[in-house]
Amino acid sequence: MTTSLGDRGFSVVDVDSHVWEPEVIWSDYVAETDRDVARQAFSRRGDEITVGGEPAKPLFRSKINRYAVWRPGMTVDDIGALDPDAEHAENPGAWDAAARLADFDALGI
Amino acid sequence: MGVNGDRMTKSFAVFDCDAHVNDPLVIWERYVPDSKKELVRQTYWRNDFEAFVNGDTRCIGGGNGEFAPMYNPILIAGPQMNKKIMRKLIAMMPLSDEQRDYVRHAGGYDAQSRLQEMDLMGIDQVLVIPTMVIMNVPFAEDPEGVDVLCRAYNDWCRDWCDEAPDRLFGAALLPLQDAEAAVREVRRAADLGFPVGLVRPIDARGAYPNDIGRVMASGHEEKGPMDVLFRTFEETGVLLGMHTFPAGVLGRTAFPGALTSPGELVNHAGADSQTLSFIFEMQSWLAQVLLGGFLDRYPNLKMAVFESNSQWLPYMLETCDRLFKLYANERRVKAARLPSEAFYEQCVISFESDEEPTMIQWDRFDTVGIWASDCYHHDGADAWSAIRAMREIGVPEVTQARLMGGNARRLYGIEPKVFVTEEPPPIERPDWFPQGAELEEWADLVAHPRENADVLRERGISSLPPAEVFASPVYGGGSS
Repeated sequence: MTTSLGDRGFSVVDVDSHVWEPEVIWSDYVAETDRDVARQAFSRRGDEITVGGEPAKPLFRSKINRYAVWRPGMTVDDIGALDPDAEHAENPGAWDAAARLADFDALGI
Repeated sequence: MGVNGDRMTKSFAVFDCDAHVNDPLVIWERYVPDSKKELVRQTYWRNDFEAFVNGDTRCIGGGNGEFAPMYNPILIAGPQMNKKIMRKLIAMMPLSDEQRDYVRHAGGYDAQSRLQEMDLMGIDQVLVIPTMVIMNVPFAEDPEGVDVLCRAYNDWCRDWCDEAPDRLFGAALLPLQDAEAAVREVRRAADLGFPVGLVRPIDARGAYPNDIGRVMASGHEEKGPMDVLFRTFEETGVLLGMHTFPAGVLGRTAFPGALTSPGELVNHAGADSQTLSFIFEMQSWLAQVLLGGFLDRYPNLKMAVFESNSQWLPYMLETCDRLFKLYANERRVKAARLPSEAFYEQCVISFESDEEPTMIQWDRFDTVGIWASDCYHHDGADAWSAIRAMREIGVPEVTQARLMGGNARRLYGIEPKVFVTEEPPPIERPDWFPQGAELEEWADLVAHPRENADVLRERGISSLPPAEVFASPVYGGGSS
């Protein structure tokens, strides 16, 4: 951790960045008594979404998870070049705080 | 380009790519065959006071009587008119018949008057586009009735343009309810010398112009019912002119509750969809066209984007390019060109005199921007104001010449001709007409109602007409 503003002389605040809602929200953070109701209302398991008790349209049109695949250094062309039929690792920075902080450092945030 | 006192001069030919006529009654009276008059009456019909789609759905037809005691907003923005004058005229309501007639510019329906008004507005040549028929006819259900009406409009427009064939050019109205009929009319329009055929990008009757849903869902195996029409545009060289309008549901939708225009969301919020409907309709169309492979499917098609403002175009092209790259391996339709490349090769976009952000980005519009007066609609303006703004911004003169006419004529295949070179002196107006220092003072006061509240109250000045005007049925009052 640093308190210095560094060479830039100012700090950078990222005002719109995302998390990929982890499944522990439903398993660990919803009270056990409410868990079934919450899962029926809205939940995700892998790329399967449930809304109002019904399966919703699949999130992905390919094996690329476009909500969590990007990582520092990837360009628009890099994303476009991914093989849609191959597995691509998700970036833990999308749900894990420690990994996110490492991404912050790489991104200058 | 020079300055004649405060008055402009110009050396290049100005082509007004999107100005309007107010679909005159003579179309229905003389150009619809007697044997088809009842059919057309049940399709789309109007007189000076009322208009109907499908025989019984009331709509705005554009007649002068419909807007009394206000001026007709379809015929107001003629020579040396401006928004201050219009605002003052609204405050003066109820206007007398004499006043309403005076500000009803006859060039909106009479060719010889149009030429005189073009001279005053610095316009050498013009492409005229109809008004309320574009808004209303997409909802008409009878294909034969629409076909007859479109032929009547186009016949009238051809005769109208023939009064000055090197200055007046027409855009054809197309019977899109029947693709084969539309094809026939595009071919006839080409023979008649129309450079443009018109389509409004809305989902009236659940029939979006390119039926994009069906085409995309089939992986582009299906071509959609309008494929043959777009092929005909390519073959004939007639430009596809996409023209937008305010949203309003006047008939059948794709399914109950479905939108016909994205502008309806503005109406749902209680605001007038005129604010953004034009832009929303065109952005929705362009997003599909640019990302759905439409221009690659029809590589010889030329398309003009009308009446939708333009300053958003660079942002939209950049956004579409980014999405195109992001989904490079997941696009259902392979394409060789970036959306921006396809647009610059096949499309143009109109801009109006008050679009200074477009003029500031002149290098992005240098080959695709085409100036439009939009007269005589209430937000229209003359060529002098556009040229003046571009001079102040520092747009190179060679670019001014392209934006003000060269680009449109190149696409339309029209020879440039200069008929007017000097901005005219002020028009002599009747005493009642808002003008001079008095108008300027009034406009300044009402433009800042909070800071001028005391003065406005002391002097009894309002920018609104008397309350009793709004009791008129025209404005929703007086009925129960």
